[in-house]
Amino acid sequence: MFVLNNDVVSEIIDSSTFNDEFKNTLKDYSGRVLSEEEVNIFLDILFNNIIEGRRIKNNLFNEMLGLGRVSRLDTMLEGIRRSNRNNTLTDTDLSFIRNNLLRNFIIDDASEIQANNEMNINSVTEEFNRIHEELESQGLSIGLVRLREIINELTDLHQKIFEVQSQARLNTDLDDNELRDVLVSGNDLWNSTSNEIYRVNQMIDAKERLIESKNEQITMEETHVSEINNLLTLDRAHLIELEKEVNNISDNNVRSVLQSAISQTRDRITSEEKLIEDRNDNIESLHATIDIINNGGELSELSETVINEGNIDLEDNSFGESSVLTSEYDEILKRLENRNINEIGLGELNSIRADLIAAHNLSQDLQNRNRMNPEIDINELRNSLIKAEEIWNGVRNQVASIDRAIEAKNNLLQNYNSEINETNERIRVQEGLITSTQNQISRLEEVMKNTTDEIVLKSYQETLDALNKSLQNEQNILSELRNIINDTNRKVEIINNGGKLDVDNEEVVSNDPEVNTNLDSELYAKDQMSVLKNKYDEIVSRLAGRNIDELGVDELEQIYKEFEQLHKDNLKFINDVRFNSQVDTSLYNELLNESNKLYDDIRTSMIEPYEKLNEKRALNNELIVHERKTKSIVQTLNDLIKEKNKTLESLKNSLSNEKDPSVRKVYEETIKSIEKEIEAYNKQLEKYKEDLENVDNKTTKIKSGGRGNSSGRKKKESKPSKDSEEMILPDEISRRKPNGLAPNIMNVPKVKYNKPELTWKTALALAAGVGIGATVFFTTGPTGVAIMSIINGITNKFVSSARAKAAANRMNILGGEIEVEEIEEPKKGLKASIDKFKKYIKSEEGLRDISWMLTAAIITGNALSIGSVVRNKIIASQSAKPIVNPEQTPINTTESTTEIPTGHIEPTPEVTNTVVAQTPQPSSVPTDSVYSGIKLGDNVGNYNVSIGHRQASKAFGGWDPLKLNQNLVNSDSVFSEFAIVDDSGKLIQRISTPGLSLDEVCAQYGVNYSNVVLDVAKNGTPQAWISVEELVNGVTMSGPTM
Amino acid sequence: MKDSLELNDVFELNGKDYITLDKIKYADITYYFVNKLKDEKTPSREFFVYKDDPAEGFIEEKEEKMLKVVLKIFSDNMNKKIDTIKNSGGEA
Repeated sequence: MFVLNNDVVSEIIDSSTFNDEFKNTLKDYSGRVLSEEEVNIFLDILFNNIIEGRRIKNNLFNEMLGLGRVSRLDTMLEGIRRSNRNNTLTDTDLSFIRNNLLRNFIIDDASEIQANNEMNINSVTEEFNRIHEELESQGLSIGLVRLREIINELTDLHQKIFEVQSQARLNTDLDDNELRDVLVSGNDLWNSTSNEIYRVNQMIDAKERLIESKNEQITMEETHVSEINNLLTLDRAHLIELEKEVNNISDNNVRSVLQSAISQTRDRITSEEKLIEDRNDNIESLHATIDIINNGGELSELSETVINEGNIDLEDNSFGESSVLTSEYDEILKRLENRNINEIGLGELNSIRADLIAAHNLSQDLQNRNRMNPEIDINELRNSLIKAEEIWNGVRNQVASIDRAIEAKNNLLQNYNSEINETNERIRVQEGLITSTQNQISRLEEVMKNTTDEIVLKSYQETLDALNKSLQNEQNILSELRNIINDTNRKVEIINNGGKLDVDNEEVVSNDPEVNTNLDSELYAKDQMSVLKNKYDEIVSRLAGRNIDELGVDELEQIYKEFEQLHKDNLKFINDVRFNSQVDTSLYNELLNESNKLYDDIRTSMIEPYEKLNEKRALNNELIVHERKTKSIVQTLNDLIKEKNKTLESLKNSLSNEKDPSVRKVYEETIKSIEKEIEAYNKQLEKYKEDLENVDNKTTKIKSGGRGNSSGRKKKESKPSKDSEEMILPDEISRRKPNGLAPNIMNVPKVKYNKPELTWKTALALAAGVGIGATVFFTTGPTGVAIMSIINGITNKFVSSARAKAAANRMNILGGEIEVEEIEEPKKGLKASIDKFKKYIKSEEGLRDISWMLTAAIITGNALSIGSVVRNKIIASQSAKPIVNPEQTPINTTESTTEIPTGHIEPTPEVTNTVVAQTPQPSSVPTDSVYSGIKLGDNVGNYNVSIGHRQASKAFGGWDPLKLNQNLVNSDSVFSEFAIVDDSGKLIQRISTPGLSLDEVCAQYGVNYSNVVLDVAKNGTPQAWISVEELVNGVTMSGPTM
Repeated sequence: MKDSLELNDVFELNGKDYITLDKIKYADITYYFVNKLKDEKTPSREFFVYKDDPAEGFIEEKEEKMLKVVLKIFSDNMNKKIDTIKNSGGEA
């Protein structure tokens, strides 16, 4: 199975190289599995696009070289290039190209990728089917343990479905229909999984209930066994007693009575032992049943219907039908209507509770499914979620009261059960006593029958009476105990099945320590609420009677923070109460109302401090900025005055030495004018200083408070420095008249950000605009320049430069000195130039920053010849030099500074070097390295020029080295041009800017020394290309003398 | 105002956006060559020279003799920069 390599496909579709027929075939073939025949057709088309006969179509080849993004395609093209060297392709070449095309355009493992994608949704479906099958075939015979595992597996399935859907959404290979298929089948699977989860949960519930009942039976049986065991112990003790007695008695009658009693006792023991055995069998069988429930197997007791009742088809519950949920809850809650919850049996309460929780789970399940459903509108979903949450909040209160009732009943039940147990124990003991007494009586009566001696008889009779009396008492006690048992059992019955108890639930409940906590937590909740309200009152009282305008930033911030904290505490408090099931609904509602009111109060009270705080902060920031600017101006003025004073002193010196009256006059006038200037500067300085003080006062006031600005404040003040009370509002600053401080403040440029995102268009327009715009300026006026023909301007520059270079190279060729590689002249016209510019801007260097490019101009170090309108006769005469005509003064640019000569009256100008500061420095290149002497225009010096090459690309690879003629190439030769060559030997760029060093080239273009080769020239004629490695071969760090 | 604007700063002045294209110091005054932006990313065809004058503040330079001086510097700077762009991008 084959599919097209997506990367290559998009590369080709974006390229203009290939014709539409080919592109359409490509589009048709992409994104699906291709047959072998289709692959061959595809390769033929591609092949014919590139190859003509035994040659590569040249234009196509060049264009394809430009693609190059896909590395495997690069390799292929390199192969083609090599094959194409002789212009005629051999059979091997053709087969090589075809193989490469196959390898680059077709990937055969894509079938695997696609299979993987399908496997995700399929594997989830398969997993689901496996579980579904298991449930269908084994149903209730699946053990509880396994059912719990199944629940986990189903929950995992939900997660997997979600993941599959998410992946599908991100998979750009899927078209809309395919994506929809995955989403829809995912949703179906999700629904089915939810159904199964519900069904399995029902099964688990049923099984758990059964186990519970079996455990209860076991407990009952064990109690019985224990009771019988007690009797058995008594009987066994009695038997031993009787047997002992029978041996001591010689009277036959008595002996026979005793023996009959012994026999009876033995029978009873046997029957008791049998009873215990039966009970134990029962217990064993119960345990076996539990084992089956847990571990699986057939069990007739589990009714299918019980479980099937709960098997609701979730499909029927359509999305967002909160009313369905409401009615579901309502249906259940009806069972509580008009009834005292305390009189409802525990069983029913538990069942109502379970149903409510089940309905809630169902609701949550619905919401979860809705969350996963991409077809549901997000707002609809949100509303549905909110609605469901609201409904549940209402129901939750009911559940909470049911919980309280259940808890109380369980407590009672626990008490009664232990009472029953105790009473039963007492009854058993009593019964034992009674039996024993009865036995004694009957034995005595037997003995008495056979006794004739009156004295003995009388004694026997007294004993008999006492025994009878004792028996009566014992029987009375027994009867009482049985009454207690009955009564308690009745109560247990009422608790379990409903009805009114003689004992008030509340009374019993209130004995429970839990209930005291309940009361505590109610009190605590009320107490907390009043703490919150007091805190609110306290903050408000601090603001009472005070003008908020006069509060400082610090205090406002403090108040705002306190309100904010109170608001958070309030929210947290009501949230805690909401989830505290021990706070009843009415109290909860009461607290909720109070909390809501407090929330409103806090919000209202917060607004003013908040706004005021923001206002003052903004004002403060404004003042800080203003202060910073003013300080900077003061500094500048001080520097200026100092400078002027220096000039003044120098002029006065000159004046004292000057005798020529006309020159003296010039000096005097100049001195006077400078003095006036200094005076003016000093006046300004004073103003700014006053202003600084003023700003300082205001800043302090804003921070610590006091009478501040208000909206009704007077605005006519023109000298802010005099008004110590006045605060400058941001909006007022811009309204001020342009006198005094005003112009500076009014015209403050507000920096938004630096280095805007530059597209190639922006960069081109800016570069063109600044390059040509300034020239156009003079013809269009000083206030704004309309730059026409921006694009043409820059295009012409590109084209003319390239032509000039080509011409120069042709000259070299004609000179026959050395073979020079052809430079491809850019296509004429706008598009080619823009394309080139685009390519450059997209390149690594271009992307760094447009300012980087602009910076490079200064580095090149071309001498500038600029015009200047500055006149300075005084300095000219003082320096005893002819008056310099600034128009003709050459200005030297160095790597970092440009000096522009102006007169002494004017401070010395300099070009700010922010540009240079941004120049990327070759940090990894030591400036005093062995390479540092390689610079265009400089002599070769001690660098090694013994061997060279005809072409730059050959110099890079060290191919075809030629021994150079030392008469033509020697230490006096000059480095004339750099060429940057890529790792494959391809010429990337030639640079001939005079003064440019190797270090700078490497830094600017981000290349290694090894990728740069140099042309060495003699008397202006290029002689040979030499690689940097060859040049420095044998050259030590001390390097050549440059 | 001293040195508060850098190259490539996009700044707002009187409700309009500008970008600083070049900056020089001449006679102790910093001059900025700026382009008025159409929006925050698109340059317009309007160019201005602003100066940061200690006495007058940040204002547009309108005096022709000063404009001649500084514009020549700007122009030469920029033409050299164009040359660099050209040299860098001119040969593919």
